[in-house]
Amino acid sequence: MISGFTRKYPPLEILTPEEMESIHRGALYILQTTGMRIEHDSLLKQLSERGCQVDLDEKRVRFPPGLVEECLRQCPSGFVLKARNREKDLMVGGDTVYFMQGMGMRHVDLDTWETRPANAAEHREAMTVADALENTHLAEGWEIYTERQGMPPIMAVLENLASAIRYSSKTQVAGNIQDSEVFAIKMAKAVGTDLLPEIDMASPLTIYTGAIEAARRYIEADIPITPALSITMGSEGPATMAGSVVLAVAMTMAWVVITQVIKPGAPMALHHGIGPMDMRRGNTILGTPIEGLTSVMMNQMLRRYGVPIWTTAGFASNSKKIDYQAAYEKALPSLVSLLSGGHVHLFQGGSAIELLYHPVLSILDDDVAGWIGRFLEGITVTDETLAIDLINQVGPIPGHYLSTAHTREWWREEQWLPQAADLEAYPVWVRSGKKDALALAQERMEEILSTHKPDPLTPEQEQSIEDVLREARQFYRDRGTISDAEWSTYMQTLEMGT
Amino acid sequence: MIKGFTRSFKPLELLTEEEVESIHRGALYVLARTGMRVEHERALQLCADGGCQVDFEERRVRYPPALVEECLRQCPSSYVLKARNPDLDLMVGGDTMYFMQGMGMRYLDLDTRETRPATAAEHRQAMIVADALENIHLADGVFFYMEREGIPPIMVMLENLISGLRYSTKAQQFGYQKDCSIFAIKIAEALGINLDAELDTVSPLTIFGDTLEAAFRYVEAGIPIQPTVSITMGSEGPVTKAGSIALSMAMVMAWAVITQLAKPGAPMSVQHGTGPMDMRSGGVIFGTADGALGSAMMNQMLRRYQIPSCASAGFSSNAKGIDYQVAYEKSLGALIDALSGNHLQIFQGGSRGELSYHPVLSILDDDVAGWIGRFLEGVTTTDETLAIDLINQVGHIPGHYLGTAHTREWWREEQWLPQSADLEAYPVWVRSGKKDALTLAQERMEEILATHKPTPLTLEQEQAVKDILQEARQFYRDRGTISDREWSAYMAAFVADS
Repeated sequence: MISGFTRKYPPLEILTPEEMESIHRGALYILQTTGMRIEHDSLLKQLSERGCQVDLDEKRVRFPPGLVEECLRQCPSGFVLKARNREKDLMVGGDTVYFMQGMGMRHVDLDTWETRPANAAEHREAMTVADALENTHLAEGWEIYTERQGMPPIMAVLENLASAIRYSSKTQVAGNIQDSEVFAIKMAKAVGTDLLPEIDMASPLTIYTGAIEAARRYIEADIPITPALSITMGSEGPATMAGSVVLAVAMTMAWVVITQVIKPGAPMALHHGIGPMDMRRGNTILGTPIEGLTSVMMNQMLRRYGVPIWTTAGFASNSKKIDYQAAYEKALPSLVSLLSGGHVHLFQGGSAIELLYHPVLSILDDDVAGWIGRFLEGITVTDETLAIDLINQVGPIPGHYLSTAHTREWWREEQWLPQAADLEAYPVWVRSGKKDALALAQERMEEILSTHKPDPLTPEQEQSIEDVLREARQFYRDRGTISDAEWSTYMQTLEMGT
Repeated sequence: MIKGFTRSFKPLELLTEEEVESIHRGALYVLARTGMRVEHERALQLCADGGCQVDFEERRVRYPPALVEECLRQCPSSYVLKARNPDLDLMVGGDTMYFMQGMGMRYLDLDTRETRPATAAEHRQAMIVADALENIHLADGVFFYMEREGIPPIMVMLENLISGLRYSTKAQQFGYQKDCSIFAIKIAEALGINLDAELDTVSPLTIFGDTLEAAFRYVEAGIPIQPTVSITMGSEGPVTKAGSIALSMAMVMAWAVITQLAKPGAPMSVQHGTGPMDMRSGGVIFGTADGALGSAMMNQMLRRYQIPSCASAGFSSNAKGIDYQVAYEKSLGALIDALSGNHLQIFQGGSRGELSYHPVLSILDDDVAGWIGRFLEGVTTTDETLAIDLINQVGHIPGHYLGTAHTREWWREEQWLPQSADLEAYPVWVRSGKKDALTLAQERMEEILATHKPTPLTLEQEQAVKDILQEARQFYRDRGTISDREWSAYMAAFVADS
């Protein structure tokens, strides 16, 4: 098992108990009076049997508070995620934090900072790097490079998952697009890994058929689901943080009921991201303190319910480059999300809203993850670390601690250093060619690619993955999801192996 | 008065009550058993009269715990920093945090990333920018550009202070160096301001004579003092954080005793920095999780005594340019300090150890300060922000919040945007020349310099500070602190500047 980082002190809290209660009761009230629109008849029937008030014509479900609170109590506070290499299993929940590889649709060119669809080699390299990075605990091959050269959109995610499974033995993320979960589950079973699938919901208060169908399939395959709750304040939710959080909690509660009705005791996590839009430009903006605050509020509410949390605040910056802005817009929301109890955090490698991914950024972000992780681990206060007797022995100046046995014994334990940062003294830095962190990260990437060999699949596993991919290709071809033109480009791409 | 940022939730606490108590008792024991080396006759006598056990030959003071605790109780929890413009006064203490202009010895050339002594014009420009930036609450003209072209080292602090006062009406930081305090006090009296006076402590457990001389002068002039307790772990203090914090607290307590014996009720704050050294290279490293852990512990300890805290985690980075690394190394540390309850944060503009400063970096850092400040202000949870009735009205999709009165009314209040960040959508960004945050900050600097006019000194004030400067020059010239060669270069620099 990967131990991740364990927070050793009480979490950051910004809501008083009374404010939490207002949010809780507000959410229950919304679910009872307005309820959710859920476009799935058989689930509606099940919910009706459990005491919900269901309008099948309107596809509307109103939830009684008693049922909601019962299901919240039933939801497990944690779960195991098996990895292909069992030493990389995760135990999600409690006070432990795991970092997850980030996401980004396209590959970015580090010279022009322009983006383009990625090829197979770039996806492979990104996964190999993610596999090597020590603070990337969970791989997210599904959603990096969802735009792939020469691949129909529906197959990109499945090809990505196959590539991710091949080049990383860490637990994988998946999703739901037009029944793709059917094939994702098959691949996972073939290699003995769990998945952490993200299931879309639509704000306000709506869940579509495909999401419920996917949730059901994953739950039946004993895979924990993570409904993804994303609210742009002022359009998909109220413009106020408190209002959007109460709406988000209502939708969370609805998912907890759905999960527990489908299968009592089935584990789930909740994926959340609530932030403002730039009202002047009409854009989404990410990485602001508003997103940090809503993330902390959601974490505080979800910890109250014991529902495991997938945090996203800090997963991307607005910057199109790897620069000052990218760092603070990613690092600050991540720090507050994890101080306040997030369990799995989407992070390394993505930026520019959700547009870009680059393994060099994942290397730099991995140092930020290490920083935050080290901070979470806190400090040890014992007689030995307090070292009162030593302080008395050393006394005033000219006393010093450089050569003491205590320093020799403890410095490694008490010291944390980033891997790809410029830590040189100025004269050394000038002499050695003024290398900055970006250059050091590029060098680290080259080194990883030339030395790191991910645990290979067995020939049987490799064959199974290939079989599932072939089945999926045929399935979508037969269904007409892949056009003739797309198909021939796709076949050429596969033949060329790029 | 500048309001600064008020934390609206409980501070982050890393230490349990028991751990706080262990550190407190450990520090008291160190002071009783080993005590401090205090190189100042008057201070030794004062301590002896106050009930300490004093060895005048060894210059050693041992402190009875009861006296220490009494003096800690006597330290005021807050103090006023008077600015040239009374609207910009600060009330330091409580749950309010102020950001302070950063420090850095030399001017950073943004093209070569090399550094050099600064000119008068560069100091002036940096001050004008600091005066304009809304999240710099306390100016520090003194500790940036401590290397000035043509100015003898002894005169730099005073020349910088005058430049700081001419080009900013904000409250100012000062220091002490070879009797500079005499002239700083005269300047403060002439302008009707006070200063936050930084005074060095030398770890382990030593205070030098000139520091104490300045301390007495400031305390008598009613100027709040700010002893600095800065420890490089593993050389100046134990390599363990708990040990270095216990040692720091012992030194803080010794300062509280001296201050309160000199003048009961005299205000003081404590500037602290507990950082690791890179044991591989022997260099000091900045902006790591270790430094932030030490800082969070110090903030917690100082809050126990209600002594205002001036924190420095994140005041600098190891990076030499303005890049990804400088942003995360600075911003994460500053955020931790803010969450853990500091009062003053040394921040905007400095980097590369303590060695460089650039106004463009101060502009970027000011956005990080705004981010942190907005986060501290927290959320408002009322019936109106919770908006339960609105959520019920809007219902599910296709309902949305875009055109609602609630959105129009609240979006400004609940939105925060940085001033110099790239927030454009990708196509707009490409069309408008791919401007990044660094470019935007450079543009903002040009705009500030073209439009911002700090309120000048009155003619009388200008004459008064000129007279004091002249007196100081003569004082150091007569004393031989300024050599003939320095003097002629100094005079030539004036001619060049005017």
